Order: sequence, then C-alpha cells, then structure tokens
Amino acid sequence: MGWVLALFCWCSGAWLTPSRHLTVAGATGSLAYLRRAAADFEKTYPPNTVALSGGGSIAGLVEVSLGRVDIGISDVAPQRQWTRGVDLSSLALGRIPLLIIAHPGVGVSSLSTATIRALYSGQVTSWAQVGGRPDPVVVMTRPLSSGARQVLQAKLLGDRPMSPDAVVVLSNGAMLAAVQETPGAIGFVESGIVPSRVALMAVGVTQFHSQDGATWPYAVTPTAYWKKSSSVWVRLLAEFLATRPYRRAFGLYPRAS
Amino acid sequence: MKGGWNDERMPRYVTRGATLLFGLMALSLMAVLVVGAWPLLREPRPLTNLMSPLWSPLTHRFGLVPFVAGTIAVTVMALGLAIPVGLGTAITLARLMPQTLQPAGVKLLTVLTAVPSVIFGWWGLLVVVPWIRGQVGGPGFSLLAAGVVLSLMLMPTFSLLYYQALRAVPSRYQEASDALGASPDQTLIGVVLPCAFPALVQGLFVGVARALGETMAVQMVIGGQTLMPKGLAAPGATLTTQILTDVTVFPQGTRGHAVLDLMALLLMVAMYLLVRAAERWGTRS
Amino acid sequence: MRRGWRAHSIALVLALLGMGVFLAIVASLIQEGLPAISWRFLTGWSTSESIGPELLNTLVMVGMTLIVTIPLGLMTAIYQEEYHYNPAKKRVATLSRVRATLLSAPTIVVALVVYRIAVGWWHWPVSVLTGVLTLSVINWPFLATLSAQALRGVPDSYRQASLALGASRLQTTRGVVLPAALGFLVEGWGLAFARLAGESAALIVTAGVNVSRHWSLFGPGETLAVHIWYIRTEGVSLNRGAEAAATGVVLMALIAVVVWAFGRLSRLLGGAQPPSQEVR
Repeated sequence: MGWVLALFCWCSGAWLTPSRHLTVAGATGSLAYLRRAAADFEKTYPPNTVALSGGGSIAGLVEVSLGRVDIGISDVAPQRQWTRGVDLSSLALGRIPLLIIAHPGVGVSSLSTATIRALYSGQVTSWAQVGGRPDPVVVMTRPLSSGARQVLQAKLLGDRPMSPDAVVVLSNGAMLAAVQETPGAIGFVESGIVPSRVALMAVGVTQFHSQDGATWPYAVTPTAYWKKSSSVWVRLLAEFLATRPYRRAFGLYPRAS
Repeated sequence: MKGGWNDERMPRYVTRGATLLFGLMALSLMAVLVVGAWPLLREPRPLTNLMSPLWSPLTHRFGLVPFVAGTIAVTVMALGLAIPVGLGTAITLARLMPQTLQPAGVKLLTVLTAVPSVIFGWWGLLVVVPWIRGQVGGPGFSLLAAGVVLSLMLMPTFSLLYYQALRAVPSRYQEASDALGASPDQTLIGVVLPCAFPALVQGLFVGVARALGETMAVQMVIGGQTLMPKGLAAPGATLTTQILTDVTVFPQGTRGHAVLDLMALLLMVAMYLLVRAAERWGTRS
Repeated sequence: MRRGWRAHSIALVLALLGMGVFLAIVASLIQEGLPAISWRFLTGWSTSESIGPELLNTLVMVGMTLIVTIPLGLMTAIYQEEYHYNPAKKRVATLSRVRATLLSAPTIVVALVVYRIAVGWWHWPVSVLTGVLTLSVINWPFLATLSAQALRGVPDSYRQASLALGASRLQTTRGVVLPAALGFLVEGWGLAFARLAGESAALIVTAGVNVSRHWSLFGPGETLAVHIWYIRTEGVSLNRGAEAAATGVVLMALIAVVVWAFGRLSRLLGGAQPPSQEVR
C-alpha cells in the first residue's frame, strides 16, 4: 500500500520546494532560445531546474501574477485585468523582427503599407490586383493573443480590422510552414534572419536584411515579468535570460539605443 | 491484513475507497468546469449570446454555433469515411483471413490505434492539405481536411471494434446458415450483420466520442476560422480546437475563460448523452 | 469471382484501401525520419540534437502512471464486479456511466482542470509529476473499464466453485479470478502504455515543453509526442521535418515494441481472450 501513502504525500505537496524548481511560462515565440538559455542556467547554477511551459503571452502574465509560475514571458504589455494590480518587474529579452512573408509563387516582392492593409482586410482577393500572378490571396494570421498579431495590427493595419476569412495558425513555426506550403498565402513571422523558401516582402521601400535586426521598424519584444516579491533566484534567472550573448543566433536583437 | 483471509471488511473498504476516489475525481472535474462557466451562465439571457453565429470574444460575443456546426460536420465526414473502411477491414479479417492469421491482424490494428495524433496531423499537413488545395482550390486547410485526417485516426478503432462485434456472433449460427445452403454473402448479410448490429451501434457511439474529443491532429489542418463555415472545403473550427486556440487569449483567471469552460462542459455533456445513447440502442434487448 | 462473394469482395477492397493509406503514412514517416536516426540522436543528453531525455521522460512518466493506475483501476473494477455484482443496481449503473463519460473526455479538458487544481491550488511546479497526475486522470477510466471487462469475462462458475470450497471473496478474487483474467489485463496494459505515450495536448500544458539537465520528478518533462509537436510548431532548425519524423519513428517503434512485449507476456500468462461466458 506504499503507493497510496505516496499519493497522499503528493497531494499534500508539502515537501516540494518551489524555489529550486523555477517555472517559466508564456509566449512561445522565443521558446527555442529559452530552451537553450534554461539549460545553460541549470549548468551555471547547479541545484536549480527550470521548466518551460507554453500558454501564450496573456497566460504568462496571468500565471505570474497569480504566483503559479515564477517568470512570465509576454510579447504584449500587461493590462490590469490580467495582473490584477500585482507589482511586476520586467526585463526585455530583446526584439525579434516581424517580417511580412508570402508564398514564393505570388510574384510580388514589395508591398506598400496601404497594400498590406488592403490584403489583410480582405479587400484585395487576387495577387493580380497588386501586380502579381493571378493566385487567390490566402490570408494567414495567428490567435488574438499573439504579440506578433498585435504589432501587425497596431503598426501596419491601424484601425482596419483583419479579414474574417483569415486562416488561423497557432504558432510562429506553423505560420512559416503554412506560408511555405500554401500558394497565394500571405503571413507574418518573427525571425531574425531571412526565412527560407518564402518571398520576403519589403515594406514600402525598406527591405529587410539579416544584419539589420536591431533597426527594422516592426518588432516583437518578448519580455520577462516576475513578482517584485519573488526570491533572488527568480531575478537571477530573469537577468540571465535577458543577457545571454547568443540571443542573436535566435533572432533576439538588443534594443536599438 | 490483520483480519486474515476470511475478513471481508478490509478489501471491501479499500476497493470502495478507490471507487469513491474515482467518483470524487469525476465530480471535481465537472465541478471545476461548472464553477468556471458560471459567470457566463449567470448573465442575462446567456442563450441568445451563445446561440448566435458571431464569435468575437474581445467584444464579449460568444456565439458557439460555428464551432458546433464545425464539430458536427467534421465528425459526420470522419464517420462516413471511417465506418465503411472499418467494417470492410473487420469483415475481411473475421471472414476471409484464416484463423491462424487473425491474431496478427488484430495486433497490427491495435498498434495502429495507438499511433499518436501528432503523427496524423503531420501527415495531414504533408499530404491531405495540399491534395485538397489541388482538387478544390482554397487554402486547403478545411473542415474536409480535418474530416479526412480524423477518419484515418478512427479507422483502426472501428476495425477493431467491429471485428470484435463480428467475432462475438456464435459460429454455430454461421454454420447453420451455411448448412442451409446460404452463400457467404447471404450468411454475412442475413445472419452475421443482424446479430452483430447492437454491437456495431455501440461501436458507432464509441467512435463518435473519440471523434468529438480529438484536438491536436484536427487543429493542425482545420484552419481555425471562427466564421460560420461556408462549405466543406472552407476553413473552420471545432469546439476542441477553439478551446486550444483561445486558451491563450483567455487563460484561467481571466474573465473570458468562462466560455472555454462552458465549451468543455458542453463536450462532457455530449459525451454523457452518447454513453446513454449507447446504452439505450447499443445493447441487445 | 464465384457468386455470393460480392459483399465480401467490396469489404476486401475497402480493407486494402485503408491498409494502403496506413502503409503510405508509415512509409513516408520512415522514409523521412530514418536517415536522421543515429546512436547519438537516441542517447545523447545535449538538449538540441538528441532525444535521450525525451525518451527517458516518456518511459518514466508512462511507467509511473501505469504503476499508480493499474492498482486503482483494478480496485474500482473489483469493487464493481466482485463485491457489488448486480448490474441492475442503480449505483453500479451510475458508476459505469461516469466511467464511460470520463473515458471519452477530451484530454485537453482534463489537462485544463488538472492544471487548475495541481498547479493553481496545490502549487506543484509544471513538471514530470504534474504530467503523471494528468496521465493518471486520463488513464484511470481506461484501466477501470478494461479491468471490469477482464473480470466480467471470468465465468461465474469459477467463483461459485471457489466460494463453495469455503474461500472468502478476497481469496476467490486473488486466487481464482485475477489469475484467470491476467492474460487479458496484461495485454490491455500494453495498450494503455501506447495510448499514454502518444498523448501530447494534455502534457504541453502540465508537463512542460523542455527538458532539464538534472532530471528530477519536479523538473520539466517533455515527452516524445510533445517533442514532435514542438519541432513542428516552434522548432527553428533547418532539417526540422526530418527531426520530427525521426522522433515519430522512435515513438512508433517504442509503442510497437511495448505492445508486442506485453502481448508475449500475456500469452505466457494464458492468452488475451477473456474466458468466454458462453459455454458451447
């Protein structure tokens, strides 16, 4: 009957020491970097383990405010309805360029802001209308909670609502794959390098090159949030995540000063 | 056990304790969902909001009709494809394969029922979505793609359930039918299938339940659109995929989460109704 | 084709069609994934290019879940079938319905509820342990159903003989009923392993999507199935298609080996068919 006892012990949860098991939850856009940095942190400060969990930006803010996780990663600015007025410290991990991409077959390589608006609001339904091949436009977007979608909406679409016909893909990687594979697709990805097998769109006259990650005007800023009252290890981890030199390899550029 | 082998109290208490724990688990599952959905149900006229086709969660419009429609369409398509193939496999296995080979076939089907749903999703993106795009145009991400992927997931399940149903028909019935001069087809259609019918119906309900609950593979290919679906080749969403998508917008602890709990509750109620239906129509009277 | 086989030949065509599609799935998986599999890929502990930790997590989490839920499933089944055997009784009917409903509960729903209780109220970390709890909630109804089926398959004459010889219920269950049902049970445990090893939606929420350098029960526990999801949706490496497929091949192979092994064991223990009630 040992396992019954063990079950009761689990339920009590008393002998867990949460300070040594740090949990990071939230936006998944920088997950690849976080996986690397978390492993690095464990190596540098041996008794700690770091668990990463997804859930999205808003979940990161809610969870950290409720004290369920130690650090929340969010691409969107905290709102009172999520944090309930809990005092949070924050540190940006860097900025990830947000790139407008399309299927390589569309025959267009630059789009003005107005054209992007027309495409995303569903007014333009064929690439021929904007000088490309006669493929029907397939608009791809991400869930409402995505920081990338919010940046796109705020900086490029303005008050124009997104086409209700848009296909919703759950994540950054899935977006890239979907645009690569779907003729006529237009989408957006967070990426520090020029993505392969898609047509990268110049916005207006500005063309993105892999060396101007720090200055590209559209960017997502994943930021670590933690409670002011949390342990010293939590702050240490946040600072660790925000300062790794290999961030650039994952598309995270230091903020332009 | 201090009472020795003849003391019945101890084992009775232990097993009853486990059963109570099981009941408690079920109860708390439902309770958490009901409590979570309560704020929405308490609002004035919740049904008008929920029964509308408009899903605009940020403005508090929670019309669930598109997702219910998507769920039904995907499930019906998946069943329509999976049941004939499942039944065909079952008949082949039970009536055409030699006795000695049948256990191997069952084992193979068993392994196939356990293929993880992410693998079906992966294959759906690789093959099904481009194929639909090529055949009917549009983005390819669609209810149809979800139905096809889901039907693949259900095929081994139906094959196994139906094989067991056919095997449960006593072989003396079949021998009697053969002895009376019936052709194999006549034995199958006149004797075996009618005898197995209640079990086949029960298998149908099990399959429906599996189809309703599947999330991952369906989400990867359905397109996630929240409008009322315009057709089978158009993108859409189901209740489960929309829970997965919008749990990032309304994580637990936010106001809008109530609608996700309500969707989960709806699914659980549907499961219970299916169980009752299987009881009512799926057993020999 | 002889007369009278038409329905059968339609069935055969449908079966071949289904098998063909599955063959295509497995073949494309192997074709894409096999070249990426190497000894280092399987056993290395570096977090990026190998799946050693994910393999370990899958085995440990599913193993622990089975250790917890096998006795629990048996106990609920014994209570229902051996101590309260009377299907007409209202309590037993309710229990079966609850069990069947839970069995078909979408795993994402289970995960959300477990997360709220374990992480929210009990303050467990997102970890292997929370993952095991989630898997246990998912698996208990399955094993309870399976065990009840196994016990129901044992003919009542066995019990009557044992009880008539003066054995108690407990002795009868332990000494007669369980051994007779064991073959069926063991085969089912293999299936449960397969069902759990393929679970992804629920574990993304509760067990995390990374692995730790220091393995611990309270550390993060990404499994193979979650890893496939991660590579497909978030991974950045160039040959991620091959990596996902290779992980898929490993997962399928693991499932096939375990199901086969439990099947072998089951045959050693007396066969997988539940002894039929029907005496011809």
